[in-house]
Amino acid sequence: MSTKTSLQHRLMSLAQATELIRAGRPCCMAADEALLRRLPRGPWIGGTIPYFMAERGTTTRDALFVTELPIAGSGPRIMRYDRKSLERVCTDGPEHGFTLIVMPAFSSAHEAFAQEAPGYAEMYLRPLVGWVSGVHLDDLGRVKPLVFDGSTGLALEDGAVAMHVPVPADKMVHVDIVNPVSPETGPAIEFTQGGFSAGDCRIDGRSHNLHDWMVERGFNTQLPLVADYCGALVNVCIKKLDAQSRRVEFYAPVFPGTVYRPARPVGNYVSAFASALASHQIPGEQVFSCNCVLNYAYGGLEGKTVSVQGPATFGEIAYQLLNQTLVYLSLVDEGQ
Amino acid sequence: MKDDDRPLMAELLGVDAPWKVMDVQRSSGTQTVTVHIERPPPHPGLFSRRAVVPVRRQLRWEHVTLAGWRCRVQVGLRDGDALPATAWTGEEAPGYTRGLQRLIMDLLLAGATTEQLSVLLKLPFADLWRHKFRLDQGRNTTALPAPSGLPAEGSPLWPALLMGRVSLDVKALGLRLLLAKLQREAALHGDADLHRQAAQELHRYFLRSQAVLRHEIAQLPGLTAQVPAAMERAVAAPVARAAAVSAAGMRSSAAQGFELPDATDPLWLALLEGECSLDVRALGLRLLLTQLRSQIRVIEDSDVRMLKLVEIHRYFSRHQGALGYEISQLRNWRAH
Repeated sequence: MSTKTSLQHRLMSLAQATELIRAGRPCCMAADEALLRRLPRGPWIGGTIPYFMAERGTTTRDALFVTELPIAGSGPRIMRYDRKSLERVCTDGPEHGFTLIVMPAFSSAHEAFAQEAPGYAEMYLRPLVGWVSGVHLDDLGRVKPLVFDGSTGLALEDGAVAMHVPVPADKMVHVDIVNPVSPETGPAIEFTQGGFSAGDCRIDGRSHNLHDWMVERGFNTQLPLVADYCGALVNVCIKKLDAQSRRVEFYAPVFPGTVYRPARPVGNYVSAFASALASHQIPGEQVFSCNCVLNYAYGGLEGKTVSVQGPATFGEIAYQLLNQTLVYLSLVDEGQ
Repeated sequence: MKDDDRPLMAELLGVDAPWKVMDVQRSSGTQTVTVHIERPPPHPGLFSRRAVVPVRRQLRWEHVTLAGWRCRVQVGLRDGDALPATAWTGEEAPGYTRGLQRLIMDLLLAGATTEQLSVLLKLPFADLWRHKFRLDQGRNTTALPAPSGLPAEGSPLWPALLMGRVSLDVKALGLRLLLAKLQREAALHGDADLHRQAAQELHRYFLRSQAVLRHEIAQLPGLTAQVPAAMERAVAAPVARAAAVSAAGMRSSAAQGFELPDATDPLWLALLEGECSLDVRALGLRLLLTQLRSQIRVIEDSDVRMLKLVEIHRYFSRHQGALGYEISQLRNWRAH
C-alpha cells in the first residue's frame, strides 16, 4: 500500500514544527501539552497525546506528530465548538473538502459527540475525520487532556477544535477505516437503551444482564463488541465490568437497534494489522491517519513498525466516534 | 400593531370563526409578531349578567414568517375548548405550528439543509436540528388529526389518482413526491393488494394533512365526478398503457451511461428496505445506509419516509464521482 505524500505527516522536533507554522502551512499537531504550549500562533490545531505510530511505535513527550493539511480555495478555516454548537460541525464543513476535528477525552464535548454525531445535520455528506486527545496512561486522573486552537493559542479542557479544509476541485476525499478485529459468528447482543454503559440487553433474542453474561463466560475485556454497518465493522471497547452496578462500561456508546457481536480473539496485533492493511489499498495521497491507543497498548506496538503513521489516540473519528480502529483520509484524483 | 390589523392577520393565518384574533403584538427589536387567538365565550344575552370565563391554558408555537418577521401564535383555551387542528396550531407541547412543520418538510424534501432552513425561516439552528432529529426517530409527524370531509377510504377516487387516471394539480411538494413515488410503484407491479394499500396510504396522507392541502382538496369533488369515465377509458386501453410503461423502462435502461433515478424511483425504497442488497465500499455510505435503514423501520409518517429517500438520493447525487462501484450495481438492478 502507498503512503507517498507531498504533505508532511510525521514525527518531528519542536523547531521543525515551528518552522512549518511560521511558513503558514496549516497543520494538526499531536504532542505533550508542554510542547504544544511552546508553538507559535498560526494556522494549526492540536491535542495532547504522547503515543505515536511513527516509523516505530513511540512514546515520547519530546516530539510532535505533525499532519500538514492542503491549501486550496480560501484555505483552511479553524473553528472552536462547545458541546452545544458541535451539532453544526458538518454544516460548517467546506462544500468540497473535509473537516479535521480534535476533542479532549472525558469532556462533555466528547460525550455529546459520541452519542449525537450520527444525527448531526449533513453527517456522512461532508467528510469528517479526527481524534480524541488524551494523556500518558501514567497521568490518568491527574492530568486533563487538552485541545489547542493554534490561531489564538487557546487551550481547551472541554470543547473541540476543527479545521475545515477545502480541497482542489480535481481531488476527491476518501475516508476509510482499518479494523484488525472481526466479529465472531456467535451471540448477537442488542440494547434497548443506548449509552456509555449497559446492563440489561438481549442476547440471541433472550433477556440477559450483560455484566453477568460476560463474567460467566470469562469474557476477555480487551476485545471489543463489533457492529456491522453495511460492511463497516465498528468497535465498542469495554472500559470495565462494574460488579456493584452489574453494568458494563464502554469507551464509546452503544446504540439501540444495532446488533453487536463479540470480537474474535486476535493472536498477534502486529500481524493482524499487517494482514488488515495488506488487504486495504489506500487510494491516492494519504493526508491523515490515526490509530487507537488500545491497539498500541494491547497490541504491544511500542517499538513495532506499522506502515500507516499517526498519533495513537483515545478515540478515532471517521464521521462518528470509533474505538480500536485505524482511520485514514486520502485525496484521490478525480476520475482515478 | 393597530387593532384594525386583526382582521388582516386572521385572513393571513386562515383563522376562521369561532376562533378569532384577539390581539397582535409586534416587537421591532426582534422583528417578531405575536398573534393571540381565542374562541370568545358566547354572548351572555342582553339582560344576563356577564360571567367572565377565564382562559385556562395558553399554548404557543412558532409559525411561518410573515414578510420577513418571525411569527408566534399564542392560543388561549377556556374550559371545554378543544385545540383546533389547523395550520396555525401545533401539538400541545411548544414547538412549530403544523403550517411551519409542513413548510419545513417541503423544504427538506426539496433538498434544503438545516442551515439553509435556519437562514430562510429565521429559526435557531439548534431547534431545527432537534426537530429533524425527532422526525428521524419517528417521534414527530407532519400529520394532522383526522377531521372529515374527504372522500372515504374506499372511494374509487384514490385508486384513480394512484393510477394517474384523473389529474390533480398539486402544489404541496410533499404530496407531489409521494404521489409520484406511489404512481411509479403502482406502474411497476400489478398486485391488487399492493394497489389497495397504496391507495389507502394516499387517503391517509390527505386525511392527516388537510389543513395544508386546501388547494388540492378543493379539486377532489370535481375529480370524483370524473372517475367513472376515466375508469372506462382505462379498461379500454390497458395494453397501450402497459406498453408505454415498458417502453419508458427500455428507454432508460438502454440510455447511454446511467442517469441517477430521482428520489421517487422505487429503487431507493428497495435499497433502504434492504430488498436489494448493495455491496458498499464507501465508508460514509455504509454508515448512512445503516442509519437510514434503521430509521425507516420505525418511521410511519409518509413525508418522513419520503425524506429518507431524498436523503439517500442526495448522498448518491453529491458523491456520484466516488461511487462508481455502487452506482454500477444500481444500473444492473435497473437493467434486470
